[in-house]
Formats: sequence, structure tokens, C-alpha cells
Amino acid sequence: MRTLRMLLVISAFAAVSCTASSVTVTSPAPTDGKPTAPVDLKAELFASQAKVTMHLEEDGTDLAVSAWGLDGLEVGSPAAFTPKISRRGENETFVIPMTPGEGRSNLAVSISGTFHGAKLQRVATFSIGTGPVKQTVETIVTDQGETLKGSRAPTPKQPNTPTTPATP
Amino acid sequence: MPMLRVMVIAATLGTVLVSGCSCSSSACNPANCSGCCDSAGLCHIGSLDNACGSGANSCQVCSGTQTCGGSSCTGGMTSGDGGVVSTTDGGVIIGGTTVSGRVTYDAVPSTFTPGSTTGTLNFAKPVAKPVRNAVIQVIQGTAVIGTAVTDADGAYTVTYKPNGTAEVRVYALARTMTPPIQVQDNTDNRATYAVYVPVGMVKTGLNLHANHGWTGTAFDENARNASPFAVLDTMLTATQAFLAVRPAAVFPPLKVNWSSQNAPQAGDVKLGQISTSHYSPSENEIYVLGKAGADIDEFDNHVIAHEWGHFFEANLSRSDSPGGRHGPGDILDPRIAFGEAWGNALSAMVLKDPVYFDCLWGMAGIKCFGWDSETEPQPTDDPTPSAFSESSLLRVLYDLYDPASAAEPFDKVSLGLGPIYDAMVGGEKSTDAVTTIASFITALKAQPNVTAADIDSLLAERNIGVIRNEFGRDDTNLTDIFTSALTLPFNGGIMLGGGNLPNTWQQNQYYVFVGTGGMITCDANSAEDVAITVYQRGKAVGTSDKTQSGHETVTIPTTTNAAYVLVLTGYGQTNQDYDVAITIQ
Repeated sequence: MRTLRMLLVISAFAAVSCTASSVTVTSPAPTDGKPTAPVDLKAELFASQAKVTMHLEEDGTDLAVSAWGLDGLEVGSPAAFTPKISRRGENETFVIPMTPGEGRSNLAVSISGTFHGAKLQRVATFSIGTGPVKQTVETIVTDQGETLKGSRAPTPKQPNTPTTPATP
Repeated sequence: MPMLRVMVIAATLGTVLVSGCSCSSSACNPANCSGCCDSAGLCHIGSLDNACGSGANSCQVCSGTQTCGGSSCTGGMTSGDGGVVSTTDGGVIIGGTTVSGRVTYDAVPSTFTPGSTTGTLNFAKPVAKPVRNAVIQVIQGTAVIGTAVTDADGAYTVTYKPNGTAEVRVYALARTMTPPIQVQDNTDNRATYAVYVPVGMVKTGLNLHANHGWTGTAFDENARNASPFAVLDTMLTATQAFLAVRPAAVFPPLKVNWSSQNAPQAGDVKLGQISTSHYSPSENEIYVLGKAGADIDEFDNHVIAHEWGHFFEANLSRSDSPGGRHGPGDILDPRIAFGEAWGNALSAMVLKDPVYFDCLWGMAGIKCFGWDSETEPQPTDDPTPSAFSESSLLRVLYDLYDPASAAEPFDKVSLGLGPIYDAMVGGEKSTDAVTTIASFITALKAQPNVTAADIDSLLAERNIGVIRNEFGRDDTNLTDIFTSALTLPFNGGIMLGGGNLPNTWQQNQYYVFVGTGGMITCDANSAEDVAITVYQRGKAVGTSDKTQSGHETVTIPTTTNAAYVLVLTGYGQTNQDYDVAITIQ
């Protein structure tokens, strides 16, 4: 057993199967991302439910999983879970009732817990449906070739106007 | 001179190494530069008056009263136009109109405290901070008719000459000129963010304030315009912290991608699927989360500074980190352990705040987690302190920077940013090893006025040996991961720990050998999937990583007496150790 001082390696990993009628979305960490909870999340999204599989990459305690919808996706009950797993390498799948929104909508899943003594959290989203990114702010291309995405600032206040002191 | 290297490296590896590296960074070209290239081959953002252009063409210096529009020099005085046209420093136009004001944005503080290990973003108490060094443009239609830059207090004065009766607007861009940083929308053609106000009768006190847009339960996306300025401000703060101690430092252009659509999901960045806030080495750009209801990072300034730290490594120093998921308490490959500790510690240094926080959504709303870079909590968040723990290295790095503390008798070091910068751009960048705490400490100890014994005290507190060279000599664990293969042919073996992520200590081993001037073949053989990459001063000179293969071979031409590091990475997923045979000949 390769150990670093007192470190003990314990792991078990089972692959998660997918079905052709669903949308499978994974949430791998990018090359140089921010610190996050050591959990890999994968989801299969169907018309009426989602199967979310969490894979623990480290031992964890006080684990909690919750799910909610974004962009019109609605989540039914149950939407919060206390995982049965706690050891590195273990997997658990949760079935979450849901109804997709129009176009592209998202299921958000959060997992929090204590890992190596540190409280950490991770949130991942999983899209279903298609549709363009909704843009709410106008853009212009200046005569210098730069595209600006400019929103109007609130009506400017007048500076240089001394504040009237309160009457004693 | 080569003999000096021989002595240093041989102290650990037991024989002779001589550097022969002639590594050089990639030349500025259209593949890596959307701005312009200077005579030294450096890429510029292309929108500066003294470095103007696009498409990796040669940078132009705009003459006289011309200004750079991002791709070419434009404007300038022509006879009969009635006077002098505006200058980038807010100069005067004879017969023109002058407006002035101040640009500010809502900075949203966090209530997170390490003691409570919880908190949230306090949208109810935003702090109006100045938008510093930002580009101001007066635009009529699409014509830029005046430019200026805000000062350190966000104040601006700009003079312009209108053409016709169309509405004139003052835009404050989420872009700075010095250093060149811009915040753009990766879901909307990389448009630069801005806020504007129309110019009316009032010409003074034409203030622009960018709101956070939070209504109490959600964002009003039409009013959510502080976010890019918050990101810009943290990037600027980080850059200026180093420029304050090393004014000659040159920072290349930085593009930061933020969008309200940027969600924690892998996929197409044009759809906002950016996985998480991260630095992208292939693009040399940073991405920041902004998806309300999931995770927004624009006000998590330590997260922003952390990613800027990776940008710093890639552009001014060097990182050999394999990347991947990481967090406190992990036992990581020492390359990623150092790189992530650097990002975390740097955020505390440049923001002058040791408390790192990251706020994201849960069912009950926004919650934050984080840690104190200075003080280890009880119970500890670093149960296996070592050179392989980003938590250990975070506190070593921060203690190197911060004032000596009576509460920490082991901390007698207070270097500030200067020597840390020098080590990062010096020995850390040129190390013959790979970038770890060993290469950094070796570079730091080489700086003047640095007391090695005091550094050793900090290391000892985190269960790290004294580190006598870049290969970690006298730290048992670091020494163990660097296997000497100085006598060729080399035949060796290692037992890796399956079931761990490929970026962990258990799945990596390094082999150091010296070039012969001829071809050298490296071979790894195992029952589990493995990969091998040969590095020369951080540059991958050969790699073999066939899918699901336990046999990898790579042959490289070598330079006589140059040092090479073969990195073996295992992908064994089963919870058991497995053997890998290594030959180098």
C-alpha cells in the first residue's frame, strides 16, 4: 500500500450506466479551477425525473444533497437527501422528480459536507432542452471595431452638491 | 557555470546534471494572439495608443492626437475641423464639450467568518467602490468621439466634439489600459461590458454607478451591471499589488470572461457552460461563474484573485501542475498542491485579507465556505500536513508574506510580495525539476536578505523538511517522489495507489535523468492504465498516453547534460496498489 505517513487508501468505484432516451450530463473539474468539494456529479435527465449520481472522491461526513430548478425547470419532492454513503470511491444515485421548462432549462444540484475537517460545497447544473442564450442587454459595435455590452446606469446623482446638514 | 548546477543537483540525485535547456515561449502569432505583437514577440491587447493593432500584426504607435480603436489608429486633428481632438488623458478640445463625473460599482461583502464556518453575501450593505483606471468613451451613435481614463477614485473628465444631433452617451468600460485587462461576455461575442449614461444638460457630476441588481430574491438582470466591474477591480488589485513592489513588472493583456449565464456545467462556453471559475491555459483567459441560483463568483474576490494567480504563473512564472479537482486536506501531486496553494495564498496577500470565502447557492439560499489562511482551525482542516497538501502550503506561503506573529513563534518571516515575486519569476520559472514547493523555496532562499533558518521553521510547522534544493532534498516525501535515474540504462519500478484521482500523490512518480545528446526511450509497463510525459524545464518534450493502456513508450532526442523529468501518472481505478515497471535507455 502506497502511503504518505499515516495515509490509508480505500476506494471502490462502480461505473454508472446510461440509457439512450435520456440526456446525460457530467460535471468534470476543469484544468485550473477553484477549490471545491471532492464529489463528482453525473445526471441523467428524463422528461419527468432526473437520476443524479454522486461519486465521493474523498471520505466525507455530514453530507447533504439538495436539488432545485432554474430557468423554468420545476423540481418535485423529494428534493433533499441525506446520502447513505460516506467513503471515498462510493456512489449513490438519487431520483428527483422534475418537469423541464420551455427551451433550455437547468437542474441545480448541491452537495455539502465536511471533508478532511473542512466544510466544503459544490453546486452543478444540468441542462435539458435547447435554446439560445437569452441576452437582456444591448450591444453596439463602435466605429473602432469594439463590441460593447452596455447597460444604462441609474440616473446620475449630482455630485459636488454639499449634503445639507440636518437641523439640530 | 555548468559545474555549479552539477553540484547542486547532484547533491540530491547522486551524480551529474548540467542544464542545457533552451526553452522559449511560443512566438506571438494569430493562433495565440488576437491583439498585436511587439518587436519582442509579446502579445498586446491591441487597444493601447502605444501598442495598437489586431490579428497578431505588428503593434502600431498612434501618433499625435490619434487614438487606438482596438484594431487601428484613428482620429486625430485635421485642418479645418475646428480645433484639437481629444486625447486619451482627457485633454482639451478647443470648441468642444467637456463632461466629468465619477464611476462606481456595488461591491458586495461576505459575512463569512472562519469561526462560524458560514455566512452569505450581504447584498443589503453594498459598498460603492471606484471603478479605477477604466476606459471612458463618449459615443454618439457608434462613433467614439472622446476617450479618457478614470483615476484611482473613479473620477473622469473627457472632452469631445459632437457631430450632429444624435444622442451622446458616456460609457464606462470594464476595461483598463494599464495594465490591459478587460471583462467580456463569453456568451455574447466576447463583448466588453460597460455602463453608460446619456449626456444631457448637466456636464459636471455625470456619475455612473453600476448596481448589483439583487432584488432580495433574485437578480434584475437588466440592472445587474456591477458584476464585471467587481471582477475587473479584483484583477486590477492583484496586478497593482505586484507593481507596487516591482514597478518594472510587465503583465500581458488579460481577458476575463464573465456572464450571468456562466454555470457550473461542462460544455460549450458560448452557452455559459464553463464548469467552474477557472484559468484556461490554452486560451490564456479566465472564466468566472455568474449563474444566479447556482454559483456566482463576481463578489467572491478571493476566488477571482486565485484564478489570477494561475494567470500569473502561466505568464510571468511557470506551472507544471496537472490541474484537476482539488481541495483542502487532499494529498495531491506536489505540482498541483503548490499551484493551488499559490492561488489561495496570493488571494490573501493581494487582498490583504487572510479569510478566503466562496459563496454559492443551496436550497436555503446563498451560503459561503472558506478558511483562514493564517490560522489553522481546531479540529484541523489539514490532517496530513506535507508538501503534498495545498492547505499546508497555503499557510507556509502566507506566513512567508505576512508580518511575524507573536501568536506563532515559528513565524519569524515577513517578506512581503517582493521576494516572493522574485522567486516566482526567477528560480521557480527556470527550475530543472518540476514546480513544487521545493523549487519555490529553493528560489526564495537564493534571494538576498532571506534567512533560510526562518523559512525552515515555517516548513517544519507543516511537517515539511528543510528543502535544500529544487528536488526537495531533506524532505523525506519530496525526495521519495523524485527517483534518480541518472545512470542509464535505468530499470526501476514503483507501486502506485489505485482508486485515487490522477492528480494525487498516490498516482504520480517522477524520474530524473540526464540527456546524452542522443535518443532516449522511456517505457512504462503496468496492468493498469498509465501515462508518461517527459519534461525539460516544464516543457513537455515527449508524451505517451494511449487510452486505457498499461504500456506507454516515448523516444526523444536529448541535449547533452540537460536535465529531464519523466512524470509517470497512473489511472488505476480499483482500490488496490499496482506495480509499474519503468525503463529509461
